[in-house]
Amino acid sequence: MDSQDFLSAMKAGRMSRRDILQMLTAAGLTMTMLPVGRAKAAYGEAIYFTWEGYNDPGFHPGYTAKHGAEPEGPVFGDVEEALTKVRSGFQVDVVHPCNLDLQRWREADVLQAIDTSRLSNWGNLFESLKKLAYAQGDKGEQFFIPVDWGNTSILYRPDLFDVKEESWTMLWDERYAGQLSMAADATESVAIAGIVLGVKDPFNLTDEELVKAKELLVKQKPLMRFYWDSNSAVEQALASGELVAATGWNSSVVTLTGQGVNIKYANPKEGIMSYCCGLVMTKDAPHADKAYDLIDAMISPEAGKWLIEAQGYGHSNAKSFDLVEEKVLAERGLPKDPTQFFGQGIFQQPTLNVDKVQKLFEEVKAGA
Amino acid sequence: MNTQTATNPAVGDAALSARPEWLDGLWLIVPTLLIVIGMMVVPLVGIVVVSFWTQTGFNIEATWTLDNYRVLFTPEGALYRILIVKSLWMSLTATIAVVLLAYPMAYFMAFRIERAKLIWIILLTVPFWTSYLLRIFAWKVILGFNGVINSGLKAVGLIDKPLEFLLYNPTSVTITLAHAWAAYAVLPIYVSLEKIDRSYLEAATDLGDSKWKRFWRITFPLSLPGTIAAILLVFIPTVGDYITPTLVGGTSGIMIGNSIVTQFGKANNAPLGAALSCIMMLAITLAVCAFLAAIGRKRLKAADL
Repeated sequence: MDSQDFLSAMKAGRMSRRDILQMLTAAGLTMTMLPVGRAKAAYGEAIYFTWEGYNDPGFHPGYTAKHGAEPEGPVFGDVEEALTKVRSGFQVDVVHPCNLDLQRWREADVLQAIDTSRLSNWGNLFESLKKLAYAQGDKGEQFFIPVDWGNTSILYRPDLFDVKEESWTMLWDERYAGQLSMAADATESVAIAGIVLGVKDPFNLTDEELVKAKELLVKQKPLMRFYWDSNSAVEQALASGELVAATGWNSSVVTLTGQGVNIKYANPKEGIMSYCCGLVMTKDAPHADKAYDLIDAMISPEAGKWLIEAQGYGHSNAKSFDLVEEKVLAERGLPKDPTQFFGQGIFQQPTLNVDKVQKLFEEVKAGA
Repeated sequence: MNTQTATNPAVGDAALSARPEWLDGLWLIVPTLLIVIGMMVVPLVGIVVVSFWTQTGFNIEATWTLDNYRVLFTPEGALYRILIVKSLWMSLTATIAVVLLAYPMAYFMAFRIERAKLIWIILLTVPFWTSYLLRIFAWKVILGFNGVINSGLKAVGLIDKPLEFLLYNPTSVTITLAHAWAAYAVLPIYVSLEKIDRSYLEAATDLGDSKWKRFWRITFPLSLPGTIAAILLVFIPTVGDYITPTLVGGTSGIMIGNSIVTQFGKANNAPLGAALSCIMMLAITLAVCAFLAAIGRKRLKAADL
């Protein structure tokens, strides 16, 4: 029935209630089924799902220059939570997991291989980072594009914390009960307990080691002010003196020093932890073309220069290091080759029994 | 709507009066009913069904099993049992605090305010125009290390080091909950106090009751329906809260809601999370039933609840 017929039928009073209901139902169904969401997705910007604080425009200057807009940036506080979200249908193009999470993401079967010939900066990336465990598929296809590398260690206030020797045991120092904090991250917390215990592989503890690690974390809990889940919370608490020592990342050192806070980044005697994070592309990425632009922008030397200077992290592009002054590199404690960097400390590895570790940490938190 | 046909079947056509009256009522509530079914019944049934399934790796296996519930009664499930009891306890404390705070407020509005009552009611709800999250953050600012209380006490010279027990513990969760839910308690209590026939109070005074006696013999019993409603309105939703403990609970203030969220997110075990939710709903139902039984049926009837 076209609109003319409809109007004349209305006028003549030939429309029955059933006809009108039929029309209304049809109209309603059409409206709800119009591909509004999909149309928007196809024309919008790339969706970059990343850690809180990592959606700064400085990370990808090339993308903004090319498209005149920022990629959309939903954030997560915990990478396992991000995986659950993506698996349950949250549509994103590019995600920012780290090397120790890669196994989970690969096994969940949510990623697509990335065509590295479409990335102009691919050739300049450190070879060692391209071949991290689970970064490549069986046939050598690339799933993970490395971007940033850095440390997890203890941030502390030398004016408030009396240190004899920098060590992970600082997080168990009873003199500072209620002024310490660790990330609310199960694998990392258990790994730190493992390091303190002196186990062989802190990322894959045996069952007996897990029991001991749990005891250690239970002992630590009353000393903790809170378990943090955003680095801004840690930075604020350290700046105010509410915390005197907490686990943290390189960027917090740069941020807090910039604010004039007396902060030191420990180099624990057991070894500093290091990691490499990067980009993966989801299987049904709605903006695949723009996703390639974003990835390429994030591994460009200009992005790397900003990352090193403003955030204090290492970058995957060897050329980035040529753009930065030697003095700045020395201040950030960054060597020009990541393999040397990873060799100095404890490189984070995938944890195989994530579920057990997760449950253990939940029990510690709940006080069981 | 159909009273005429119902009271006098002789009038009106045969077809209409043959249709049962409840059917007409049903048509009226169809929109609401559809929303309730779509938004509440279906998800609830989904939760119950999923709670009998299992998670293996990344997939959910749809074979019926009681394992998720069995876990809760083994030594391994101690964690959840502790959390459930702790959550009920924390909510109970918060509820008692809310009602004790709300009752005088409601009393004041019902008996002492003569003019412009509406303005008072609006004033009472002003803090609730902001989002729940903002209110929790406000408490973080008030109780915090460099917060309002600590810097105030420091300025006066009562303390030289900030008090650390104010934030990040079960007490701070209780305080925050008590404030966040105050309006939900004040309004029902106010309504039932407002309904009280003032002549009863005059009669009691005439017959020689003191103010105190008068309150306990007349005002309080007659305000019970509102008070009970307030208790239920605050207790039931706060048991499952997880955002307040996340923000102000610290290491020791977590509740069962946090554990359920973890199961659906980080821990990646939706069936266990669903089972925990079911157990929690059951626990709340039992707690509420126990509470109502304690008040007594007779009293409830008298209170016309």
